[in-house]
Amino acid sequence: MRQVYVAITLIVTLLVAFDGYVRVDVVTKAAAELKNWGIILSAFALGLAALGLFTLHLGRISRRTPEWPYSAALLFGLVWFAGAGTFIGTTSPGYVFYYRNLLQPIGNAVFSLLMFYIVTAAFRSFTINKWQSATILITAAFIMLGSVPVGEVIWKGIPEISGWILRVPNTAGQRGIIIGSAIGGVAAALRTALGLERMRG
Amino acid sequence: MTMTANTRRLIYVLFVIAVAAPMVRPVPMPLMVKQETRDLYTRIEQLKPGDTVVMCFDYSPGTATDIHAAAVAVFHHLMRRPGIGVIGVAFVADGPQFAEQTFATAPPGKKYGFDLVNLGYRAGGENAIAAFSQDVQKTFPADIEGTPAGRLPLLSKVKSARDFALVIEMSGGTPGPAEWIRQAGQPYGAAIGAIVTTVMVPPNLAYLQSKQLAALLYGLRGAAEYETLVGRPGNGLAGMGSQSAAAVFILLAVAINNIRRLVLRRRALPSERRPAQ
Amino acid sequence: MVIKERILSLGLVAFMVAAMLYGLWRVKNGARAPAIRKIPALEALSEMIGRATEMGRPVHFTAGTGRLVDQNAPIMLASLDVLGKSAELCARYGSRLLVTASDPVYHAMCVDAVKTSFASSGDAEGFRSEDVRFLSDTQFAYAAGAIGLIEREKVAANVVVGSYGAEGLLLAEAGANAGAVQLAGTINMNILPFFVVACDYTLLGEEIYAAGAYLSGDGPRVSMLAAQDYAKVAVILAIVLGVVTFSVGSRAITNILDTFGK
Repeated sequence: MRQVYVAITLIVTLLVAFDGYVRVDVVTKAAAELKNWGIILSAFALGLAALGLFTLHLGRISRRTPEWPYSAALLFGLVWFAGAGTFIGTTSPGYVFYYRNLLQPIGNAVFSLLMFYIVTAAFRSFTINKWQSATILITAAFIMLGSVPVGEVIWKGIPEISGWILRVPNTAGQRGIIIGSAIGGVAAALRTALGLERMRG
Repeated sequence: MTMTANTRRLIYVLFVIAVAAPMVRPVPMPLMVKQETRDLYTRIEQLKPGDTVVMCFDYSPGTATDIHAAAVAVFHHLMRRPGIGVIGVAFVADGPQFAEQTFATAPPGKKYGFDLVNLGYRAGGENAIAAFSQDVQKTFPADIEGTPAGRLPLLSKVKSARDFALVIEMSGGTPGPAEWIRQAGQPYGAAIGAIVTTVMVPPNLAYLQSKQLAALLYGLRGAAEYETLVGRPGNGLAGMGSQSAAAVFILLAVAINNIRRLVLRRRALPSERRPAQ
Repeated sequence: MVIKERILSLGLVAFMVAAMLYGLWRVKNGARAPAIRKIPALEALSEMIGRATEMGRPVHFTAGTGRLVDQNAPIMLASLDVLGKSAELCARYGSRLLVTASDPVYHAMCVDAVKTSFASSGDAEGFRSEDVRFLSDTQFAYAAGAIGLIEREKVAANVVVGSYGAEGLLLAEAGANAGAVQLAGTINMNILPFFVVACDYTLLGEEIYAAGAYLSGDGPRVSMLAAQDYAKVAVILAIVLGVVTFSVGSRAITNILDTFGK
């Protein structure tokens, strides 16, 4: 049975990969069809996520775990959004009201936690007792001040130095990691396609 | 060095005060417009009547604070150019809502279906971008309201990414500009401009330098710069005071912490001094 | 028939396939697998979990909010190797392992990986399915759930290896607030700097892909890893050649890359 899975994986990978390298009508059409199947699979994965959430939180409500009221609130939101989106549309006033006045502010609030965590991370990590952390501190100072108008007010050289750091050493390092990660990703994909990767689940 | 809970709370309270103060009492500051922002402005100024631009809303409520202001500013610029059609798509579930919010600010006289279309969301990330770049109407057979693609005149002009005059990818993570470069820029020659969160700027500069990206807006700062160029102040410019205060606060806090550690180490007896951590 | 601009790219992929299969063939015929340099972050995994066991506090593992149906699939699959090793160490030392997942399919694979690792370490009874949790597929909802779990359970070791967006820093800081030793790794360039600053050990980019081979020491997997390095050498040579020839005024290499390597 494993050989069947590996054969399917290999054929699909070859078709989609070759579409990027050759111009052959049958390959292009097959790849386009497979990409559309991929979209359908992704949509089903979302549905699976919703089902997973439903069963998990329904279980918590039925067992009356300490957090069961939150699970009830979550399921209410899930059902409301799914129902409203399906039956009255995602541009309907009811859906949009709930989205803009509840979901959007909550998302903004959780993201803004990042700012507080960045403050404490910087406080903890940006020290000058080692040359590496001192380098990070000085570089970060230039980049942060170069990204905001007050940097130009403090000194006109700050945006220029910040720009140089971003354009030269930063881009060099980023390119190296991008190339390495890309090659690693290709290798991982090839291992999966050739059936050399361990199967799980 | 671990921080006590009280120290952390004090820092957070002072931080909130520092960020909120410029909102209560704005402090005007000069703003230098970066070349990367001008590049997008110039690119849009060079569009011809009949050109179609794709605006891809790949951000969610969290990252919208950094990106949405720029999306609105760029959209207004596009709407000011005569004969430009804008197609809104999303490969992130929250995207269509931001497309709706942006398109709701369209000036009077712009007609849905002719000047703008919101195609909604497709799951699948890069795979969906690839399918969209290959065949627009097969990937989105209808718009967000369910109107068939065949009944939207704007869509009759575009079959694949080859027909896009410009793609503006607005992203807070994945999918992002790299995915559009791989699936639309390289295979079909589509020009890709990007509006990204500030934290995503460093990795995307590599693509800008190699000209795989035509332009790059740096989060809220990019929004402020673009609003300056189009002469339409908005949330971007409004946020610059708070962003400046936040940066200065963090650096001051780090400086004070380092001075404090230095003083404490100097005060410790030689036998009590520990190796630097 | 072959797209002219993709010839070099196709050549590189073909070279990698050939190198992989050759390496595999050599090891299977008795040759020794190449040696891998030490990766400090992976060496520290055992120490981290040992410390958690001594403190009587759990270990937490997360692979972030990537999906198995998009371009993050390779990194998510690679993170399962780190999870498998973490689970094996937890089983061996008798430590509790909490796993949070953001993708239901990935969650199922985590359950399998942890269960298998516990069983192979002789502690099948120690596996608790309620400790491998699917929280949410939405980025910040997942982060909120994971942060709460990390801080409530006061984890002593936090392994954050996978695909992350902004929630990566939230997870790292939550671990720091809980007093955990942290091992992080991602290929997402926007979050990697935060991990370097906020965590004790960091896997940079493709070190995560190497983790499976490194942790298992499996000969065939190590030899396949070598194929990646050969590809990197080829790319580095092309870059160096291009820079040198361009600097002396020749556009030969640049023209070749522009024509056949877009």
